[in-house]
Amino acid sequence: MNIYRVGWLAKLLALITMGFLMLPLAAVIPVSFTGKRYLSMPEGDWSLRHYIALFNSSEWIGSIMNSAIVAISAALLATLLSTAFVIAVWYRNNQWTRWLIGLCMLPLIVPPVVSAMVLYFMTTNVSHIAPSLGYDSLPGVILAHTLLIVPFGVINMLVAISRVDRRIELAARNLGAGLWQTTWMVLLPNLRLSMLTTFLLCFILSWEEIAVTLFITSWEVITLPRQIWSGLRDNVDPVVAAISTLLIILTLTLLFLRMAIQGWRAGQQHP
Amino acid sequence: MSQSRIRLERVTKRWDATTAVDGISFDVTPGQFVILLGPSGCGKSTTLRMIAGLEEASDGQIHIGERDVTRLPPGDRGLSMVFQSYALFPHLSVADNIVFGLRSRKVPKDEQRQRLAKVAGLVDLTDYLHRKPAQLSGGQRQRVALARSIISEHPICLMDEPLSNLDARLRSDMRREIKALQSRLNMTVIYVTHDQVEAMSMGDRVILMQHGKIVQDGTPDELYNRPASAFAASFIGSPAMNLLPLEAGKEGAVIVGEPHTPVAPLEAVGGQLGIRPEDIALSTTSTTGVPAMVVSDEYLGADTIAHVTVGNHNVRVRMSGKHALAGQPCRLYWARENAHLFAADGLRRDDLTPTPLPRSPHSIPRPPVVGSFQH
Repeated sequence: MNIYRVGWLAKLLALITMGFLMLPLAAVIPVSFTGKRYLSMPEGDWSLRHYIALFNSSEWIGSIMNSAIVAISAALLATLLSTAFVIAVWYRNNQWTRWLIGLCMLPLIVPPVVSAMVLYFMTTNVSHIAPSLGYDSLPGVILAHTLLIVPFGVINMLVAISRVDRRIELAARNLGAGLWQTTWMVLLPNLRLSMLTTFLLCFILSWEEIAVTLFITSWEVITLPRQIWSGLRDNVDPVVAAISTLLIILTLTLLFLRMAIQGWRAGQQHP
Repeated sequence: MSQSRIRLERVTKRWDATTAVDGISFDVTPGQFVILLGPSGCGKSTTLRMIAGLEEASDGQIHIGERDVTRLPPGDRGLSMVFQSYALFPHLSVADNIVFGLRSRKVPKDEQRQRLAKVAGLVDLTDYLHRKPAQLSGGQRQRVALARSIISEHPICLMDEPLSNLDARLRSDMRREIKALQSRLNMTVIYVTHDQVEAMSMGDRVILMQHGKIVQDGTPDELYNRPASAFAASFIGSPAMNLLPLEAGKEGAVIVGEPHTPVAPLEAVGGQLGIRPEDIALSTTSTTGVPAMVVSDEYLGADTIAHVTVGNHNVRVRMSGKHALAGQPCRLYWARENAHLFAADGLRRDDLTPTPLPRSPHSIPRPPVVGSFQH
């Protein structure tokens, strides 16, 4: 019964699609090693000068630091919030919680530009009261990013918690564990790895966020995508290719890490 | 000892419009092994969960010992519970699973270790204490679940279909093991199952439920020999009791479609006659008894189930040994004390006695106890 075996045409199409998707990314890698001052393919003049320039530039390093702070903080916040949310939903589990889940997903269906507009008005208004939390501030960007990525965290954690057998909660209560003990001793240990993968997912999402960041920052908080954006607009600098190469490597590493964690967990559950 | 007495008084559970448990009362004496038996959705598991405190009773009272525990949290009721599909904690080792209850109750570490060693020996898990539940077989997981509940040393253990995930062979071993453990530790057990074989073989007392109400509450023997209703009759025993509707004949009530043999007084008309397959004698040579026709036979090794038609009805007859009778006319006979009469509403009628059949063709050796060929 190999009626559904993959034919050569399908394989070819898959390869072409893959090439179509991957080649622009791959092209960035040689470009980053060009010896020239402008974006070009290296013609025998391979050089690391743009990598050196990258690490010597306080602007670039500063933007990487900003992005790291924003992404780590936003991912932590989003992971904690989504974990707390799904635990509450799991304990309550009634028609209201279903509405709440829907409400949580709303930021997903709003177009990014609309979110950006709304957040722009919100942060500028907050700035009147607390400038350190509002427009063009680190906490402001962190909160805005958290808002954007929480739905993804909630989806990831809902999938994880739905795999937890409800009877183990009953068993824990029968064995004398209260709500907190059940949460700490039973529920959270079973969600540990999912919290880690949620964190990685949220980190990547915040790290790459550009649309909203463009609206809510001007020159104090320059994140990496924003720096790339201005690098491309002002003068086409091959440093952009160098940073892109590093980003590709970082993203691939995180993705593989996430896959490895999930694979390890699957192996642990079904030895 | 009296702290392991369990008393339910008109306990009710309602969810919106549906009533899952409808005002049931019973009283379990210490050391008893009580089975809550019934088809799925009859309210038996809900009843158990209300006793455990995992489900709140909408109405009525639950007493354990001298205390009214109706509103107490599950951890304060002084009972342990074994769950269907074990409900082990997947992230904890066998040892940590077993001592979970001691740890959440902050029992000193030394005592935890002692009690763990004792209980692990009791259920034969000493060599597996460091494994995770995922690395155990079904039977071993079952033992962990048992150990986790008995280590609490509560005098009461509630069991919710604990054997339903095991294969048939292991199940019969575990039945005996649980029963032995119960009498050794002198526990009061309430055991929920839909499996009549478990009910008959393990229970000191069986409470049969249907639609949230108790249908019959008695010893396995009473349930088998004096079923309180047509439902109880058909639920206990395998194959199920034959239930034949009665109509008026010339000399009394007759089976519908078989007008010549009176089987009960006229007052039984409209109700049903019940006879267990193992209480019917089938003869192809006799000229007395109820005329019937063998349609097919199922050979099961130790015995044969013959499917015969009487009037318009199918009747199962259990015979020991191997018989090939399909297509033959025959006569059926049963002793009067083995025939049961049920009223139109399904309740047992003790005010009437079935009419004796003409004559026994030969003596009927009674086959082994119910369900012995299953599981």
